[in-house]
Amino acid sequence: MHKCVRCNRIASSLEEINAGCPCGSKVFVFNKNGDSGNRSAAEEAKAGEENAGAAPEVQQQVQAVAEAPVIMKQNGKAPSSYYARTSFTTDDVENIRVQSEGVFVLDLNTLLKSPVVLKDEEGVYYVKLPYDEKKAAKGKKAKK
Amino acid sequence: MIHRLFDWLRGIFSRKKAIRLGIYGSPNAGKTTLANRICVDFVGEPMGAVSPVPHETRTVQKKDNISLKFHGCKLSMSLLDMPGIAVKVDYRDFLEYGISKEEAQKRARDATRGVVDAVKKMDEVDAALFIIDATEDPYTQVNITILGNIEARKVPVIIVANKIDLPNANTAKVQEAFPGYDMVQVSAMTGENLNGLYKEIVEKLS
Repeated sequence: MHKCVRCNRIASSLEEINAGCPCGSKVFVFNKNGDSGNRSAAEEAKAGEENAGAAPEVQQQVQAVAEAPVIMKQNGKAPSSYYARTSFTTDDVENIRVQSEGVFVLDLNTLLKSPVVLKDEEGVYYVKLPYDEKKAAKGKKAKK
Repeated sequence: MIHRLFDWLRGIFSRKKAIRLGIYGSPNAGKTTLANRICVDFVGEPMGAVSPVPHETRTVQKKDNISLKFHGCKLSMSLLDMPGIAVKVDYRDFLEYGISKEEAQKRARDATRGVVDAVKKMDEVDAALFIIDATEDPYTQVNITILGNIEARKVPVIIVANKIDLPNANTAKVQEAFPGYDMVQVSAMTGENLNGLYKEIVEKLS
């Protein structure tokens, strides 16, 4: 579920997320479990009791986390691709390979220096020709 | 009267241009969480949504007119929250979060475009914060490649070892992996040691 960071209202549809919350905010936080924002009073009380038995410094930490803005909360871990390594050679002209639909491998080093060259699953290459909008705009003005 | 006029003129001519500070790092390192913290602290509103699903930020997010004030020093800046940089984007990474295959494949396409945009924007930033998840191994191809390229461009960079609130955070390993860089350890989620980061930014960049 997606929850508005300003008023905590839960978005009921994708259209609402795109259009923004009625309160005016356009920022939503995604909650994978979809239930932590709607804990019942009994659950809240139970959690409070559990925390009450903890050491003071732990209670302080719990309090600090609870008071942090909702948007800051994340329990993300690195995706498996975090540790991915690619092996592009100097003979490769492409800097993006499409291995299959939705699976992309990138050569960051050549992306930093060269135009985007994409190679699809069938070995077809696509080149994105560089176009400097600022220089083009300057050239047009000079012609005038 | 003359003094006031003189001060006003001095203010105009000594006004520094705002720097563009780019936030770089791998997906789920905590870039947007940190950007939100900075924006909430100095502008009063967050920058973008965060999510446990990797590649939540898929376009470059920009916040202008941030005036970072710390201990009498002031730094005007535009903050650019970059999409997470990865050498591989695989839609199957998103499926475990309950996203449909079609949606995951679209997310992978957008994320790849985001990586390209983030890399190309490297020529437009004046300084960079490079966020490393201190709970993960820092010796990755992305960290080494991007930090090397930032350094090659002579762009000032501060490494931010994030997630120090987690028990398995190992900031010593991050410092050991990149010994020549200034490093600040923070928890963007709890706000721990953000003042240390602000101090480093102001001292290094103003």
